[in-house]
Amino acid sequence: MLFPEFEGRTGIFMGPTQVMRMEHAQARELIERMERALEEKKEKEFFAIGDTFMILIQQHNLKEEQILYPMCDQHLDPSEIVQKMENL
Amino acid sequence: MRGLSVHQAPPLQIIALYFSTACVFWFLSSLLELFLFFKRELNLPLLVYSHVVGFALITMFGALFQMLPVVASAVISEPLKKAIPIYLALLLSSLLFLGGFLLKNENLLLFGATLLMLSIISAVFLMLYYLLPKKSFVPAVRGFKFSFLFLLVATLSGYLFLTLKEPLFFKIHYSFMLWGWIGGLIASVSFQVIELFYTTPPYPKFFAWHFHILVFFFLLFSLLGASFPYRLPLSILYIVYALTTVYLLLKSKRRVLEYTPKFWLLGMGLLLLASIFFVFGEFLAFLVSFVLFFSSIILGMMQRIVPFLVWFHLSGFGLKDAPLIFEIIPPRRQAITFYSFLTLCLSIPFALISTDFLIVSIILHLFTASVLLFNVLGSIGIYLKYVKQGL
Repeated sequence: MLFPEFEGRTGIFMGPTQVMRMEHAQARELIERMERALEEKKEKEFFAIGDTFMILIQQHNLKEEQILYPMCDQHLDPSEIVQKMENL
Repeated sequence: MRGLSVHQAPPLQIIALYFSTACVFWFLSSLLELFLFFKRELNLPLLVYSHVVGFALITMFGALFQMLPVVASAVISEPLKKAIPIYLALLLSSLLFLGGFLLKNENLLLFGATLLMLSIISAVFLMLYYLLPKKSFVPAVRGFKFSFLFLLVATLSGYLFLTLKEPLFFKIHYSFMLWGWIGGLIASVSFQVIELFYTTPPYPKFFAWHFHILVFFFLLFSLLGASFPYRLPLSILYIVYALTTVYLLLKSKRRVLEYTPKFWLLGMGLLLLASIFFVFGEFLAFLVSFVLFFSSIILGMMQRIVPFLVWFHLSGFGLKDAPLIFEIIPPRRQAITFYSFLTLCLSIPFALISTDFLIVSIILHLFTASVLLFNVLGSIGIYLKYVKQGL
């Protein structure tokens, strides 16, 4: 919802939203690997993947908060976006 | 986000170049220590600057190229085109500057210092150009801005001391360089990463937001006089910071398999010592403990950032099951650097009793630096291997 709105309004398709999508894909891949490690009862591997996942998510959150959200604030109308989200 | 690489992050080459060079400098520092030991010569400026400039400054600029876009949203456009010339200027000027101390050649020293000053000023202005327009949403960003200011003051005062030989400039130089730039930047980073990476409670908000302003005023206050009370506020501030960081790390909720928090804890212990030695005017002991403090933090962070970025870039290129942080630098190899560095720290008081014992500390430094170099270069090697194989 937010990403297409942002891209449509700014015309920036290969910017922060692209970064976020790529990192979401990376996070999904790590979650799959964690699930596999859990199923195979590989405790050390599970925590090792979890460690990489944790750093990925923390720096991802930072990018969202420091880069994407301020840009959204600049280009989007918050009440309009919230309304659209509620209508989903 | 213009200027980022194909996979939308500052290119790995920057961190790889800066960090591996810094590791080489740290390794060379240990060789210099060995050389000076056998010559029975104490060349303190050479040893201190090889750590402060070669190891810390180059590491910190490399890290800032990575951190500014992520933490401060200060995206440096075409970063590689800017990072490489700055890197080359810093490298060349550092070598000339250190060469001046090694060969005791005044002209070479002055030439190197001039180039180094220009390199640092260029790097700081480049980063401030992107950073200053950004609002400080988090204490770390405000800390970065102050740290750059401290570095500028330290650099200019150092150069003035070299040319005018006025002792006040020397005092401004080392105070702003160590407490301001290095201490200030490490504090900025800790305000951001301690809570996030180790799942600790946050630093007290008021403390984190006002830390660098207090450093600034207490630094100025410390310059007003030479006696104990003038240094006390700055020491107390850093003691409070170190104790707070230790308290937060001990409150961590995360099951930790790696050694970075231990490096932070050790670093904070060394910072406490440095603060105490500083306030009592024990300059040599202060210098040694401060150098060990920032070395500990850099050792920990470097062995965390490099493998994460290797995984991040390989995975970003679409490599399935890219090697994880722990596969790139296994915790046991981190442990070797931690325990050898810890033993190095513990060996130093013995070296004060008998200078012959210094050889033990030097060998431990040489060993730790070799393992660090192996860990960092090995990580970069893993990245290059996959890239060469076409992933």
